Amino acid sequence: MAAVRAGTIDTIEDAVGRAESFSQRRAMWLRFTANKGAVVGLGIFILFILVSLFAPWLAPYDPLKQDYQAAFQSPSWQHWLGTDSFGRDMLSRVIYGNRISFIVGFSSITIAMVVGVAMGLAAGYYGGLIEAILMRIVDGLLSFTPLVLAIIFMVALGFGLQNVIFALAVTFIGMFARVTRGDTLNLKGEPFVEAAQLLGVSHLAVIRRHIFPNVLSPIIVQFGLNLAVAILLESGLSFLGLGVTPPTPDLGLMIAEGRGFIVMAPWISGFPGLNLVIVIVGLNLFGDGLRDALDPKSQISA
Amino acid sequence: MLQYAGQRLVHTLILLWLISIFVFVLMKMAPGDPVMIMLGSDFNPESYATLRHELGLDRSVLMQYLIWVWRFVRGDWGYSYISGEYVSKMLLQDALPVTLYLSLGSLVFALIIAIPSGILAALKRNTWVDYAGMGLAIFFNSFPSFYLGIVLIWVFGVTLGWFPTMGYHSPAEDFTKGIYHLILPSFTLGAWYAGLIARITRSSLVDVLNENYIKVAKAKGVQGRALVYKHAMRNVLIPVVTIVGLQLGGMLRGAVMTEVVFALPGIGRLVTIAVLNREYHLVQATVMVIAIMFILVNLSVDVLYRYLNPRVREL
Repeated sequence: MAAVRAGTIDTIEDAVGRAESFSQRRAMWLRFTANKGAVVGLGIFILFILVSLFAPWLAPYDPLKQDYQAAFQSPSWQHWLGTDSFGRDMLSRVIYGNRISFIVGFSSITIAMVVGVAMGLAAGYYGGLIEAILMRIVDGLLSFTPLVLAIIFMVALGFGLQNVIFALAVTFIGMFARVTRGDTLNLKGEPFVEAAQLLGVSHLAVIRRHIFPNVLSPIIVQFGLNLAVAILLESGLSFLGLGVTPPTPDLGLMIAEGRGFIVMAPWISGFPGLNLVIVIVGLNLFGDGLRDALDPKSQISA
Repeated sequence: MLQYAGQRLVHTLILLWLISIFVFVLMKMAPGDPVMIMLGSDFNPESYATLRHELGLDRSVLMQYLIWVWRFVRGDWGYSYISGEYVSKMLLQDALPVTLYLSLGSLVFALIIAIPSGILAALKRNTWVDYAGMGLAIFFNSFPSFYLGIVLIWVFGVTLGWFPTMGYHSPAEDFTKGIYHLILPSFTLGAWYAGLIARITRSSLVDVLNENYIKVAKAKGVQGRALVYKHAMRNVLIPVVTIVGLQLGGMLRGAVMTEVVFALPGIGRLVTIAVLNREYHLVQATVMVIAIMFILVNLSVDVLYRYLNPRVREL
């Protein structure tokens, strides 16, 4: 009987919820599109995704093919962005570089989000010992500056693409867990959560149906903002020689490789860096717009 | 107040203990045998066993951890296999001041640029001054410091020849020379910070200017500079100080990159080189020092913040 009653209430609630979330979503979209910077950011973001997805079709040359006859060529009709010290086509390498950034950024932040949100929900909802243990781990993770944490993980795991993804994922778990836990704590005291608990809805169902949908928007905002930081960190690690290994066409690696030729061939560092700046500016504008649209109360913050 | 500081201190010590375990375990996981690396070409089974014993690597992992912590607390951090110097000297005497000077330079630079631009943008809200200023702020906020460093070296160092691009001289020994060498690195590290502070200053001043007490002051005839500096700025500074404090730790990230690009012998460069040389005990000590610095900065910012903002004190 209790189950049936709970079921009915849930359906009505769901229906109301759907109607509400529809109008909310519209309002968010309107707020988002009213912000010119955010729209430009979204445009750059979509372009970045498309370039990453279609890299094999867009790149005019093989990004790994060396041609010593063609080394150090300045930008021309044949090589729009010139060639590097191995005679590799820079345009093709930059296009593939976006793909690496995209893969690392998306996979690491997605892993961090899934684990961090689960930790935050569990800590905030159950409290007690679970919270104490989980949040001490989070404090530990957050008490390192992200780059240093990523560096130690790279040391422990060894260099390479998969390890970069793993190291960055661990680095970002703390942020997601902390945000989710704070919001979960606030929601736990809300009447609709208590009502559901009194009706005998199981803990997991309460978390899934009543808490999770309400903590979603700050999580999405975190995703947008941290994506930019992850891409920045990945290129930084590779720049230091602690990330992806050559000859992978990685933006950070290309900037590092071009450093020695900055006087003679500034385009080798220049274009990958410019590409990185455009992507990060776009993601930041997009993330800021997302925050203002989803969470209008929040102020500008780090 | 004192009780709060005491509580935080206990919390911090527990945190440091957890971090020490974490760092130790991760370094144990690292590939490569440090004994082999140290011996190099002197390798033979006896020397291997002797050195292993000397380093305490034949004991249990728990004992190794305890010995390491004991030695770390006493300041005995071992020596570098490559330079032969004591790790404590390399870290605290040689590298730490460089990083501190660099951070201080960037902070000064960022505040000098960012606060006036933020105020100007807020006062000229929605004009081209505002858009240009905030556009630049977002731009610098997004510029990876290692790339900005390279661009600055190319433009101001190589092409124009205005500033030196490499090397470090201690400002304590030769002030002008030291500062001269720190200008480009400070700009590189400070640009990101300046972008952030300018945006906070602007949004916070815009909010404050809409407050009732400002309207009252205006109605009383207070105008121009007096309004902004005497009445508004006090409240603008609270969020600014918060962010400046919160992000001081974030500066360490940029410092690693900046030191590598400009070949400044600071902590960031030390840890990078140590990783590449697989000197794990050096990495271990450096990471602990960075973590301690990071925690101390955050701790003092928290305590200072409670002191500055009486409203938080009651909570």
